[in-house]
Amino acid sequence: MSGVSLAPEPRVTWCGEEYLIAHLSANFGLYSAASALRLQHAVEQTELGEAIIDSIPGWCSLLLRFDSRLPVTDDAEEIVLGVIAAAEKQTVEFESRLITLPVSYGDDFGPDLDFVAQANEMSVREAVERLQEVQFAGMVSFTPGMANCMWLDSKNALSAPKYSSPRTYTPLGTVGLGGSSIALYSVPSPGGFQMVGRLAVPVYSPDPVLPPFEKSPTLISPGDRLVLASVDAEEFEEIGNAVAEGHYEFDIQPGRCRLDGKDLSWT
Amino acid sequence: MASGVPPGGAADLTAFRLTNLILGNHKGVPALEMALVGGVFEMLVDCFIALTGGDMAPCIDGRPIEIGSAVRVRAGQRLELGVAATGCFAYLGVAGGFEASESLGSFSTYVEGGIGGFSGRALQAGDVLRGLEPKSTPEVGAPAAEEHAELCSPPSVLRFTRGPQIEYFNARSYRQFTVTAYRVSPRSNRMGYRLEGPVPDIEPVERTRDTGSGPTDVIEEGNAVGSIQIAGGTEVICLGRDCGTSGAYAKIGCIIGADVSRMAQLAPGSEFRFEEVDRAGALEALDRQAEALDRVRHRSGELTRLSAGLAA
Repeated sequence: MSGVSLAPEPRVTWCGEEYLIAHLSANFGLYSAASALRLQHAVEQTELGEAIIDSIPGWCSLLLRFDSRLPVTDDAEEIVLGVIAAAEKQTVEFESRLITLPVSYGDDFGPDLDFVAQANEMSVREAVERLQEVQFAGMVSFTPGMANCMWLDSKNALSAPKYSSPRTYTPLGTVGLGGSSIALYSVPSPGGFQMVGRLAVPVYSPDPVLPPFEKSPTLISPGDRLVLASVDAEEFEEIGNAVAEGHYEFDIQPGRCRLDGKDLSWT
Repeated sequence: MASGVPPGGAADLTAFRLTNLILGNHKGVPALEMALVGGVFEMLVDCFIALTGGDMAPCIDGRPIEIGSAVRVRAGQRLELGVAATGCFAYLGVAGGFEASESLGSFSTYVEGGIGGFSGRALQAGDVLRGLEPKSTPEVGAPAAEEHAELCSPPSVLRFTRGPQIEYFNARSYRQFTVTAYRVSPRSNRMGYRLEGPVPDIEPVERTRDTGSGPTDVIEEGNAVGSIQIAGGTEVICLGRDCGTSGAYAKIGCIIGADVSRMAQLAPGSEFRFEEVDRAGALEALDRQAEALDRVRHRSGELTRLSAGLAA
């Protein structure tokens, strides 16, 4: 299909007077996702930093929300484009914890797992192995705490089409696959990703009963890495009980991501 | 927003601010938001209240009271509010403000996330709302009728800036978008306003496999409040203050801050049209709103000083 092309990246666009979106690339991938996080950190270091109220990294973009009353925002387009041009030559480090989350795959919790295995021409067992490979949570968005992830190593990635007509309801804790992205449904919500499993633990908790939710109702931050570890029905129930009783201990390892030019590494 | 929690806050931020200014309250203290329909409230103590935004024909013990002004009410009196005859979102403020729980820097209730406001949920019959200590005694009267009409009446035009995926729409359909009347669908809420009216034609855009298969699919990106997105190539949706913080549909534009508040006074069935402005126009519109609110603030401050002087 031939057609018009979108304006080339990078480009910045004001959305009203308060929001500015920077599109970095048209290529979905780990480098684009990490670049969005790099831009987020780099912009905060500029004179625009004081005007930033919020920022949302996308897979290939960064949305910034400013206090539009501050005059520095008049120069935001120029400053952001300058940061993007300089960023490729800079080294940036950001927090990238390794969080292991228990998941029950298949059966009632993952009714679309068989379809996903078939779509990727492999056995269900192989599909579950792939689903347990490390994920990069590049976006935490849509609903509170909902993590959108891509495989850290794209050769492990599975892929499946989204529902042609989205569900009106997705159970809390559902692990979904759409395209080559994994989504963790943090609250019950509509959804279109194939349902492959269910988290045994919450990733969003407005009432801070468990320690990781004391500072924030959301567990996962953009840039974190996740392992969606398979557990059986018995373990799933035991973990659920521990969560309910308030003594579940999350497996969260500290870590940092380093983006040097186009090279990504973790420590 | 970085964790998927929408910005939230009053749907009509201007009407909410006006309520607190009329009552001489501290900035941002909680008021009660009502959409389309009000309710019946029994006063448990003597206090001053003010209503702004949509006109739900408020009555105290059957006697109509004015919106946009402070009203003295006594314990045992009943405030009754009906269906909004004009506008949509109404705000009930009390001198001092209501007691509410703060979550992530906001007192507003985010129902989907179960946080903020009154136990993270909508009010139910029998709930008791408590007031905070008033800062001063507000002046009884109508210090803001003119400003209320200017700021809170339903708009006929919503202004927007051009969206980040403007190339998805050809010049003809873009022009049509800016001259056509759109109607607010009943399937609208704090998350989004669905519109009835012509959907702009979609240009076939060069895609990668990651863009998605729908005609207006884009790679998932952050959503600005006020974004006008074309969902599935079939529906025009304006994102409200409780919108999903990211999405994957092309945006033809984004409603300016001043008019995101005004959008809240468009009840289902209301018609309006879009008008393009640039960022300077958006900032100017915001300045105009701020000037009107400042007039109320100064008047309210002068009256408070005057009554304090008389008391002394």
